[in-house]
Amino acid sequence: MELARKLPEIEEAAAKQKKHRTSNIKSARGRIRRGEHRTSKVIGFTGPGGAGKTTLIDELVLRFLNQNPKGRIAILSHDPSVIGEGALLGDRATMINSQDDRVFMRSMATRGQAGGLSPATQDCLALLAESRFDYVIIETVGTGQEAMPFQKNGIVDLTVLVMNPDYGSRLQLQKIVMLDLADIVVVNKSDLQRARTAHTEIEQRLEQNRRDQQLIDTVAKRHRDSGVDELFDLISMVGRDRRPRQTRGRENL
Amino acid sequence: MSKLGQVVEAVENYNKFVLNQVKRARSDEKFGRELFERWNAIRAKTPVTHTPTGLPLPRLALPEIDEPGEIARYFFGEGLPGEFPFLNGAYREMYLEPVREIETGSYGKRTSGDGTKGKASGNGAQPPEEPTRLFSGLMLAEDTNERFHYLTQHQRTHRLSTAFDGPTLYGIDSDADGVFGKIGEGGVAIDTVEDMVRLYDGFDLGSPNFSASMTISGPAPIIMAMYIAAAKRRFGPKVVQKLRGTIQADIFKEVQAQNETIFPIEPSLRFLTDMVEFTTREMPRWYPISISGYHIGEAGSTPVQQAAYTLSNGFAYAEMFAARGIPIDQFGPRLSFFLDCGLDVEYIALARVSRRIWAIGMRDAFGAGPRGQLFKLHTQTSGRSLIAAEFKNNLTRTAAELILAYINATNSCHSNSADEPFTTPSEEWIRLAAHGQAILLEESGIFKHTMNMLSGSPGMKAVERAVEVAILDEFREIERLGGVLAAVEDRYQRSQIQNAAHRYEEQIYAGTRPIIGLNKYRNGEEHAPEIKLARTPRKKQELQVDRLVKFKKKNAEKAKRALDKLVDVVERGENCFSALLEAVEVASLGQITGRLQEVVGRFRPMV
Amino acid sequence: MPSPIRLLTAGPICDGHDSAINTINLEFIRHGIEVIYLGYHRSVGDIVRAAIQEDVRAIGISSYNGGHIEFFAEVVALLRKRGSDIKVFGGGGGTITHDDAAAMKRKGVYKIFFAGTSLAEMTD
Repeated sequence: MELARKLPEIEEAAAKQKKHRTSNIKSARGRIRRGEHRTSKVIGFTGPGGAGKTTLIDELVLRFLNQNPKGRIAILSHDPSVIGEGALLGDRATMINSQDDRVFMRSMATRGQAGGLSPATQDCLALLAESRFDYVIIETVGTGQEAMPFQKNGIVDLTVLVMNPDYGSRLQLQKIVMLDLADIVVVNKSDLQRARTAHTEIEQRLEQNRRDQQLIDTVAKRHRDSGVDELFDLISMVGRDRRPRQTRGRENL
Repeated sequence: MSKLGQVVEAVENYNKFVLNQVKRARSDEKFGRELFERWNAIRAKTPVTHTPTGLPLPRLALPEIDEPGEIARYFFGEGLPGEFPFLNGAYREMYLEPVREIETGSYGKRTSGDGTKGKASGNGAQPPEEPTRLFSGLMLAEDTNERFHYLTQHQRTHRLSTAFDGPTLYGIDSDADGVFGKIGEGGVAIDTVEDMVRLYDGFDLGSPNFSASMTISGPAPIIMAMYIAAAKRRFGPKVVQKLRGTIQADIFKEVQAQNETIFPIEPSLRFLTDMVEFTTREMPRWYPISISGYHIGEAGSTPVQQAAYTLSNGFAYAEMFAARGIPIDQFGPRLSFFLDCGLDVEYIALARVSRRIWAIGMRDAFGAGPRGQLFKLHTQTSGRSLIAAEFKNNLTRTAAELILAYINATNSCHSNSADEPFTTPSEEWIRLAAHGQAILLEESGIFKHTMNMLSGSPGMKAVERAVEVAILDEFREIERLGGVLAAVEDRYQRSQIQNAAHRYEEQIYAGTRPIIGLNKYRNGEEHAPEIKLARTPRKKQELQVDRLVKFKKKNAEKAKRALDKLVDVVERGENCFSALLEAVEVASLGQITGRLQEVVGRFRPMV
Repeated sequence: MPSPIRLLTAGPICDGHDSAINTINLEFIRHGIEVIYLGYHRSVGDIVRAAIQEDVRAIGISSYNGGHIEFFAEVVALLRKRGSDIKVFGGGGGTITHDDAAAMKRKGVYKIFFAGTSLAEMTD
């Protein structure tokens, strides 16, 4: 409950652009950077709208809850909104498995900030990451680097890019910066005809990157989908002492 | 191109064919003469009947034309009632009272063998079947049973229609967490086969004069199995093939509008097809699906959207059943439809046009025979059109809607009660609703003397044309999205319906859509209606939970075995209906739904 | 700029009527409110948990299938049990009578909107 109350404080503060944040948050941020007090593994999900991120996350949550009877997960989900206007935050309506006492979920509107995150997200994330969740999932909408800026700060342990096979031509892939940054790329809706080609084209792109990236095909809407099982296993293997990520100059794009 | 694209082509080609026939009638003398002679023969053979006041009228009214081209246009473009393409009616005669002879005197003088002063239903020879089928359901099975007997006491044929309570509609048991207050609200609580036996107690389920309609879609296969099991318990296995009635079972409509889907779409469709495969084989008089537009309309769609989505859903089902290997002439005649009827002008022709499109599509795109081409329609007057403010106005609204429904030659009809906006209707208002139908069909002369009353008026034809064009446009859009299933998963129909609903609300708010008593001619005072609202007493809710718990306890062992068997069949990908029939003998609705959800998943709501 | 108001809206368990709630959501959003929409067929537990986690100002429930007195009361009771002061309001077309509404108010429901309430009224 207190967690729920603290988060809006953070949002309030961000809105009023208060320079002095509560010491709690400041020190949390600092600790995160230094890798201390981190109790949770932070997974970032991003991708274009309509790719099925929400369904995918909900399916992962289902597996997690079933396999970890005492485990807890936190989810920060973002929906775009214009500053000063309202927003429909409807992720919870479709995330049937995440309505559970062991899941803490917070729907955030971006409030005009570019890149699919709310002004308060970073601080909220810092707080959540210390709050004894096994996983903190952060979900954003986007395909550019700004959709997952925390990689530099080391807060996010793993990024997952969820792609829709209907992205258009191979040229369109060039514009998707996250393809170079994400640890795991998921081709969802892989039951569609286009998915075979999509898989091949994305695979080629990842091979060019020569990074340690994984590619998985899923059909998130399918009950007990094996692709989702595979993704879940991969995510479960994320440890604290992971291999250092090889960053390249592309971050400055 | 999917089947829907073929249907669009079929309709367009047929319309061209009609034009060609018109030309041919004018250029080919022999053909023209044949048509002319046939026309005259029909005219000559048409019996004459008399109104109670002695006016002679033909049983079948036809346009006053004698030019072969126009005759061709009528025969091929519209069809006589009961003839392809069925624009004017599915059957040759509908709603007509027996032919009246004038016995003594002439027009204006009193005649002797005329009507009786008794109740309408006791009036000499009866029309083949009363279209009235009233929708009801409340509290527990035995309470609804009592209501059923009340409603049908004067009817020769017993046509019942059941509404189920919230938990039942969602496949949840009455003893589940948090549903206690919902038991028996808005419909009857059915948890087990024992409830089903109670529900229809005292009715002869195998009789040709009895039919049961069940308004439930999400858990339909399970409820169907319960009905069959209940019938067998009372009448033995031979009754199964005699069972008459329908179950709604329309999954597409649920996903698009009603929101009562339990399993994900594909397993839901699979269970539906399992049930259809069983019933079309074993229950030749049962309609295993009622392809519904009512809820689509009630969720706020325009009339054209309602018809278009209903028809396209129907064609999608036909495609699905054919793919399963069920012969088209086995399931075709077993499909029925359900639309609403509101006050928008489209309704003057909506069902007529739908019937025609269905016939052409089924014949030319699916190869169905005459029985499979028939669009059998149940209409319910629109609940959405009824409002709470000055609710007695609803009587007028419903009466107008009934007239529109009959103009469209609906095969059966439910009229809403004026107190519909408040809760499950009370006896007084149900009685008035039933009388509304009797007044229009039996008391008034509008529909009981002559077929084709009001067909072919210029206004009606204008509406028919506009509606047909609009429906085909919707078909093209759905086709463009990849067909019905793809469009559904893409939220196409759903979002269209929501947009239309929103527009409707805005129009009311802006006053561009006048609703008397609501945004026009408002009565300043807000009268709380003095209606006794039917609420389920706590004691009854407790009773239901009690007997459910006892049932589960008694059958615990057998239920486990039956459910394991059911799950096994499902996982092996076989038709699960027989296993369902066994399961319902010992397991409750919630137990079955729960186990199945473990295997196939739960429905993920679409926002 | 002050933060937008956050509200949670939902339909009760076994109730799939979402036409009204969709329209109302849009109206709230138009007035600058952030609406967390939980969807239809939602249990008391789901609604309360979500409202607390999202720290909303109030919960709006749209109920058309009956059983509303008990349902709303259970929501209020659970909120109180969890120490929350989130307000509960709602509507149900004509299915909630004035008597019902009075009973619900006594059990702690903040406001009930009746059939024919204009959208503007609700946002105020």
